[in-house]
Amino acid sequence: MSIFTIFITALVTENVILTKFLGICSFLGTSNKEKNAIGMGISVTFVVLVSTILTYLINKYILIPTNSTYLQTITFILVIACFVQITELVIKRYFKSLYKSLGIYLPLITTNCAVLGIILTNIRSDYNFIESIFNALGSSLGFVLVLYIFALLRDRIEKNNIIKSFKGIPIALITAGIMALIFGRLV
Amino acid sequence: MIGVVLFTFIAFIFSILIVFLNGYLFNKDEKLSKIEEMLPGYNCGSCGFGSCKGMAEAILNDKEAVKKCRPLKDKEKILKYLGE
Repeated sequence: MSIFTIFITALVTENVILTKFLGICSFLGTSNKEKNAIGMGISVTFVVLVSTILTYLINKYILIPTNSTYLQTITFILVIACFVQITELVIKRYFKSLYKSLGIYLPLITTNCAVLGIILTNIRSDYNFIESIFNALGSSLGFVLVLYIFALLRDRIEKNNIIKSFKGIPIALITAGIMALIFGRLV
Repeated sequence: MIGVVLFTFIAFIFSILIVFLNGYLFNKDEKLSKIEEMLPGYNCGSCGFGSCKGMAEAILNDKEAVKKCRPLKDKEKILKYLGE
């Protein structure tokens, strides 16, 4: 597969949220405001990119030569947790309002399965270094894209008259379902 | 077995990295908590900053704000600390 194909596949047809259903928690939690969605998206993109580079190197030069690939998952989680911490510290120091509005969802990137999912896909599909980076970039940009579109949609929906029992998360879930249907037909 | 040792080593490096970054980014916060300790701690709000924490932040931005603290007797102590 060419790099371009990998990128587009990860971005649209194999979208992390809408076709693989990973990272739904932060998808619903941080799409209530445009600013939150962008902030969350950029944090996730940073974490995914840096951890992809590091996990690729660690896997190739440390885990495979020492014949200890059974430690893959825990090592990857360690790398992700470390970079989530670094992102959190930087955001806490320089973007205080964003830190407050993202709240618990920022440290929860650690357990965001989209991040681990992208990294495991890279390793399992035997991508080389460049392909891994493009897959990570495409997947995380797909995450940002869907998060942003969804935030805009939710903003429009909240302003309309909805039945009381559908307000908030229920209508958001229905919207997400329709979006998933549309993305599924793009293949 | 060697994998586990290497894993521990990687974890150790990461923890050192985070500790250093934390110290580098939040140097200012250390000053903040020291000033907060010197304030009376009544959280009376008569200074207009809401709490002693708010007051400490205001002092960091502008030394003169210390005069607004009514219960505090030893105002020179904080000024001296900031002057160092």
